[in-house]
Amino acid sequence: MIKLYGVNKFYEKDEKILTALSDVNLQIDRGEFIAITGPSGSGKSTLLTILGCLDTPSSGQYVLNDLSVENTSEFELARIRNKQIGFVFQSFNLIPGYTALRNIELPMLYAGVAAANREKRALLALSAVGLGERPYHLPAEMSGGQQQRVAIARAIVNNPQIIIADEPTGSLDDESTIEIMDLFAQLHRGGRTIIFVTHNMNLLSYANRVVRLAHGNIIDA
Amino acid sequence: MHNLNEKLKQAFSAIKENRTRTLMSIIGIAVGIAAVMTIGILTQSGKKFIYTELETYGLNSLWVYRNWQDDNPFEQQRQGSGITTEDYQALKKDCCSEVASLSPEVYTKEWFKNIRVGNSYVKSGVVGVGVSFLDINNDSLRKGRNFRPSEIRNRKNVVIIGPKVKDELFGDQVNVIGKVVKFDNVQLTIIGVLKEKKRDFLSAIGATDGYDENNRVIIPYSFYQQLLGSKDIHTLRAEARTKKGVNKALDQLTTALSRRHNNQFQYQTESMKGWIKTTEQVLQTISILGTAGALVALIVGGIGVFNIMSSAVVERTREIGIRKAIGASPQDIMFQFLLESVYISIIGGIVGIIFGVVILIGMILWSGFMLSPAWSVLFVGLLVSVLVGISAGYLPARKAAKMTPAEALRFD
Repeated sequence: MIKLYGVNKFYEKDEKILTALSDVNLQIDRGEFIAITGPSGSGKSTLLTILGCLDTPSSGQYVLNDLSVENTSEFELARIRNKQIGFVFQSFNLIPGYTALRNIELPMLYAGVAAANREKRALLALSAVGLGERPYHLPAEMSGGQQQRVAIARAIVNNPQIIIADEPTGSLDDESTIEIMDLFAQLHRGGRTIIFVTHNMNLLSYANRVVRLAHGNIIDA
Repeated sequence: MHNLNEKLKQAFSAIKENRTRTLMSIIGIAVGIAAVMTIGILTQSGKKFIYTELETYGLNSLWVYRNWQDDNPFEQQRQGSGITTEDYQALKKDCCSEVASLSPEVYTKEWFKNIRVGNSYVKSGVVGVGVSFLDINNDSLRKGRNFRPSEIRNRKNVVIIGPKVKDELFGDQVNVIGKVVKFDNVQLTIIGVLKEKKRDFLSAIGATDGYDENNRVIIPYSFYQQLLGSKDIHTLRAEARTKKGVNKALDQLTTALSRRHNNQFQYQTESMKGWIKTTEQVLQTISILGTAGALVALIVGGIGVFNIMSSAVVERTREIGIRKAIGASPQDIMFQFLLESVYISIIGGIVGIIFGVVILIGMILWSGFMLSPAWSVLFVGLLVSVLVGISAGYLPARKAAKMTPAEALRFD
């Protein structure tokens, strides 16, 4: 379902061209649990942004569910991110002024779900991550682990097939890390494809495949 | 665009977080809208007042009198007003197809005379007229009756007084018909009292030359001529059959007069049409100046909104990234920021309308005129604020919409 063919990603900084990804070829099948790892600056996050359609390759081809992403409009990419992919970030990326419930409702708002339905589904998603009793708390009123659960609820609320997580436990203590990873494992058992980036070698055991990167190249997949 | 209600809620939350800057922009726009509204009210109400008050002269009214400023030295030496009783009678009988009715006006240079009753007196304008005068001048009577033709013919010492004259001389007395007033030791019997005429607005803008229609005493022109020992008529007052025919009627009257006097005199004419044009020009000037001022205030307010929205886009870059990551399209982001900008502007517009109403009340209290706001002015105020919001928010909103999600998420 995910196929990368000779993908390169370059950035321009101070009139220099930096290579973030170099000739990356990768295939990820439906229902896989993939860990991407590698040292800082190896291109893990860049790979993730391309896989998540947050950015497009400078060259090469990315095919997602038979659709070539390079030739897709920004409007269509927004729809793909909304319906097919759920994102979880290291810094949670919740909107600070919104309650847990409103944060979870946002993807449904962009999907055009009616208000009453939105609230019902958001509450269900919140219960699914074990936070059913805290719908009206603001992010600042919750612990890191709780915020990440809200972020996961937001990621799954539109029922996407793929969950992409960029160091999802990077800001959490050990206990919360285990809770969050267990949640991902649970989502994986439910049939979803999970792709996550991590530095933490202890978490690699959750994955059924590890992709290792160095200097923008895949050295082991 | 999905769920407008939720989007409005989002816009409101964002605005709350930037209170001071938002307030400044709201004030800027409010001042502009208040100015737009004030100008609208002033010009619309002004026009209404002027028309209503000009109607009190009769909209088809015209005036013909000798041109005393004529620079021909021979004509200057000629005595008399250039219009006589014979002229009037001849013209009345057969002159001008476009003239509906005609009345002489006889007066002296010294317009105000003492009108007395016992020990009380009032200084009033005295004018001698014919039977048709009240109709031409759009006058109506509160009490009594108009002159009879026989009273004009027989130079009767009867008088119709203005409401102010009645109040000054008789106070609260209800019936003054048949009572006698004295003017230059001549006794005049009151046969009518005129209804009050409102010309406050024209007086306020200096268009009445200090002339107060309510402080008049009207007598038969023939009687006044007898008192003055002259056959002169100082002004011919006429009413044209139609508004269109005003100029032709003036032409017919002056041609007939010139012919009767073998071109010895030049005549000057006035019509309501001319007055209306002048007052409209005054209102237009007010309107242009006011609109320019309002425009400056709106631009300042608009720049404030632009500033707020530009800062908001920078400060909320990460939020834009999050929204895009979870499925917001460029159109969604564009709409969100435009909505916020329009929201601020509409609040500014509403505050401006409230300012405008306060100014309106202030103007009513200060001037004593019952100015009325037209709904169209409110509508224009709101429309202008929406337009300011869209224009000021467009560029920042476009910038936000164009960001790539990855780039926006990297922003700290």
